[in-house]
Amino acid sequence: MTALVRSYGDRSLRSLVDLDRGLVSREIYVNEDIYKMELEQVYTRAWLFIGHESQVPNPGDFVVSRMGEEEVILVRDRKNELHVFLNTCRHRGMKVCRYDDGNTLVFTCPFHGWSYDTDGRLVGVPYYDAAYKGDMDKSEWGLPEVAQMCNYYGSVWATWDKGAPSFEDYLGPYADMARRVFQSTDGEDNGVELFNPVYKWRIPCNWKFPGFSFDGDRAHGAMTHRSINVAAIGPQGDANGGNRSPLLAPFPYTDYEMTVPELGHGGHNAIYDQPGVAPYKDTWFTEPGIDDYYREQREKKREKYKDKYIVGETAHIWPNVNIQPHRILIWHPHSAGVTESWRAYPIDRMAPQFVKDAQRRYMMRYGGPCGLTESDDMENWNYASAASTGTVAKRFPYNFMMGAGHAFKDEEGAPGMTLNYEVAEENQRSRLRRWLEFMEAGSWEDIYPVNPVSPSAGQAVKAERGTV
Amino acid sequence: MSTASDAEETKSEAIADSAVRSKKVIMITDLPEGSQVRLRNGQIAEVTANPRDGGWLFVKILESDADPSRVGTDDMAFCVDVIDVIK
Repeated sequence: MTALVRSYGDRSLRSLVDLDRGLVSREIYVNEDIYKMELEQVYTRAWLFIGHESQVPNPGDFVVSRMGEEEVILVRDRKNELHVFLNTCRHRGMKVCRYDDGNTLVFTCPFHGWSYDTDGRLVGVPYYDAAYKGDMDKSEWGLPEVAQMCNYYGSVWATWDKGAPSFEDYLGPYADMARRVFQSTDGEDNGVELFNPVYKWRIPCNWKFPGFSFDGDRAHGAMTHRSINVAAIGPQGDANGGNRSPLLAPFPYTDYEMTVPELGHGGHNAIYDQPGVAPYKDTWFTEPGIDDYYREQREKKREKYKDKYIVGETAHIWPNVNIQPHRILIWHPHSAGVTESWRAYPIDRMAPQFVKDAQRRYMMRYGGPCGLTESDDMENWNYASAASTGTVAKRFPYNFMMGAGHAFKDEEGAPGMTLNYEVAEENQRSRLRRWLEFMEAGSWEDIYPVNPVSPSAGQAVKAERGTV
Repeated sequence: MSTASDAEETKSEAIADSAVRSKKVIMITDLPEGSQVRLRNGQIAEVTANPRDGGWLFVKILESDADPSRVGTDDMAFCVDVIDVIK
């Protein structure tokens, strides 16, 4: 950070992110010093998505994940407890696990042979009696474990910061929405599993390009994804103009950009004008039998939720993950100019195999490294990143003015949320606002409990719903 | 010119290698549960689990003349300490 301060004289981070005017310097997307600062200020503090318990169903099962740039191991120990450990030997730092997933009794370092039980304890040290002669206490040299871990309805999250609030408090008003994402399509908790393996690939852009715009940038769809709808990749084929998303039955709702700017979470979400869940509308015209399964599931969910007002069903959980009923998108920072994208696809655990297969094929057409939707997105993020690194280019800030000053509250329809017109940049401003708070904070005490959003920060609060 | 540290390193390697070189190669990765092995410290141990990492065996000590209190205890045996397969 000292290099940044020297380079920019009196230009503090706050001067680079001017939310009052909706101007954000390109520097925060390309600068190496800022990136390194993010790894400490954001990625060692925030709650991060690790994986799903369905990836490690049996004792000894493990899967390698990431927290920021660093590899971690999600493992179920022999007592059936989940753990998240840093993937590094305490002796000389070698990775103790070099597989993506598997089952093991111990993690043995291939360098000198230090060996760790699945609960992280150091249990094997070569020449221990003869060479250490009792001078080293093995109990002090276990694998580094995260400060807090949460199994949230089957999804596993962790933070390196013991001062962080609980995961449920971290989610705030998005806790209920996040819970529903991990329900099966009949509305039952812990009802999904993830397809294996998880997609992983690297793209040449800063993690904030996708991480701060996805599910917060509806304006891009009509232009960027026009070709997908022409290609009709959705399960309904070319019905409904080829729209790539499943068809929806009529159910009165209004779409908004919805966010909790104090926490950074948000998404494109609907407020429904009546309780319950919309009836199922047949969609899978190209895959016989699939609609029968989903229709039956939907009826069970409708019964379960018949008296409940639903608010939305997707959420961007700050800083770098978006959770949706059929896909989880994670953007890991890899370097200032490289992001490692991961895609995990939840599917009803109890669904028949032919339903799982059909859903998997749809998701492969839709997202991931070969999916048409994300191919469109990647092209934008990658070229925008490349065109923002130049000396002259960096003189020109990005424009985040869309909808600024027109946000409002609807405590009855969406408690705790801040709303804006369905095509706005409210979510992106919220994520940038929280980013600035994390980057400036000395500890969690500075950023939680949260400070109410100031109307002057591009978040004007209007009393009445529907004023936009 | 040899130095003291060179000599120490050579001696260390010799200790590590002696167990392996004194006998046939023992592929501990292949040892099933129930196998019995002789350890460099003279103990006889039964393999209770094999992580198949090529480095370690989970064992139960069956005989330990130097320290009888170890009999019946669970331990881990490192590859170079396994000098023979008895059964």
